[in-house]
Amino acid sequence: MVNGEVPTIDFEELDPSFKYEVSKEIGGQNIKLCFNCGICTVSCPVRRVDDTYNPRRIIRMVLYGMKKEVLSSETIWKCAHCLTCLERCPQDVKFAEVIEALRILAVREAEKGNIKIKGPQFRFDSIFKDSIESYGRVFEAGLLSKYMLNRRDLGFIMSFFSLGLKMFRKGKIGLAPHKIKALDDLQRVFKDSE
Amino acid sequence: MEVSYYPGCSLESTAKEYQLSAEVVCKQLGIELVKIEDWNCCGALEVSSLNPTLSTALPARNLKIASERSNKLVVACNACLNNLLTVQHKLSSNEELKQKISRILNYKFREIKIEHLLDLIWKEVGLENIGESVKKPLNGLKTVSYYGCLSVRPSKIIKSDDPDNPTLIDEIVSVLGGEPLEFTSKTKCCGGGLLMTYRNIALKLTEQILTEANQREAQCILVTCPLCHMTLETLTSKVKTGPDGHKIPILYFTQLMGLSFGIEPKKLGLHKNLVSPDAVINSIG
Repeated sequence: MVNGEVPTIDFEELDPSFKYEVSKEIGGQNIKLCFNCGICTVSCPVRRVDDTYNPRRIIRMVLYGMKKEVLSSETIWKCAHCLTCLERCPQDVKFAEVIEALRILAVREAEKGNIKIKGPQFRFDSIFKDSIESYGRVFEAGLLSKYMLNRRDLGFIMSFFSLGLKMFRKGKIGLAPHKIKALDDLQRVFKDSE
Repeated sequence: MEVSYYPGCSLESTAKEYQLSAEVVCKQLGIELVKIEDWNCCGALEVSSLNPTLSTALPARNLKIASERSNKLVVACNACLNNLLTVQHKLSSNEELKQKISRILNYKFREIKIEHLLDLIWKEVGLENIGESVKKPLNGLKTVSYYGCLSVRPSKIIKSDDPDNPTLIDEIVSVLGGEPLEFTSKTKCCGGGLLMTYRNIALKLTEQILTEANQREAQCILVTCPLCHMTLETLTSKVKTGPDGHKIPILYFTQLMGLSFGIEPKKLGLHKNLVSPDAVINSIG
């Protein structure tokens, strides 16, 4: 499901249990309540500027059982988390939380080797989480440099390098991380939350 | 009055000017912001797609620390506020999750009052008292207030004055002698969550907000969130503006309050803003 085109449904590939799988995840509980009104899509700011992103279509695809297409698509990583869909939905589907449930399932499938995760969001999120695990707080300079190296996109690196330099000169990002005192305790929380 | 306060990572780094101005303005208004002990990152928007238990436990650890010392917690960052309130709501409505998190954190959960710094200033200090601190009225400075997403939605959990048309900053600006303008973009998304990953989307969303501010001839945009501030300031150079290439300064609401209280710009961290705030400083005199 790319480029805003309606995907063809291959009935052989459908997984009717997918919607139950999604509804068992935190955030996915209400997906079956969707009655297809489309307010999530018309109120979505990302949708307005990127027509590959369509919340209603993603919900429909989940309900039809298009598991592989949904979980391997890049679009599920494009939600900006503005929560407008969640605010407007008359059925309390909470699409902004559904998308998080879908991402969790996508990561799980990717770990099993069934799909590949597309786009940069997952990598950014993982590096961000590692930063918290290492220090208890986000260490911007470390996070940005790791992420820039990971992206391997020169234009991107240049634009963020100049921004980073500006911030550094203004004393907004430091070169040493701030570690919290109870770091051991926090790292145990990371392990216990697995 | 002492108030327990959760700064969040940005206020200690990329948004130092927010912290500086918040502290000095609150002091002027008789409030001392006391940081909670050894707080951790709330996970921002990045952890929830990786591990739902962890994305609950991280804010919950801060709630635990806060609840041990006070019944109330003030937060200045919209994203942190949203995470802390959402997690408190989940813990109070989901017994199973509460048990699990209580076990992990050794935490006897109890609800506390969590509110945005803007609400604290508006409610506890009040417009009348704010007005009494004004030494340099804003001379009719035209402002637009940008509240963003996470301090107003979801309205079932985040109790702002109005999720579609919040007005607290505008009311404060009026008391300071400025002229708050209508602004239909006030709760529209700047795309901050995608700034590092889908920059083109963030740029287009930010462009809509900056364009409206320009069309209304605002002299300054006021924000309440370090993520919105970073996104608007970072992308403003990419947005085509008026023929003179003028960029509208983007200030934290506390920075503008401080200026009207006659506090030195440096103490408000105005030298740290990426878009020069000089036009605003000069217009107040």
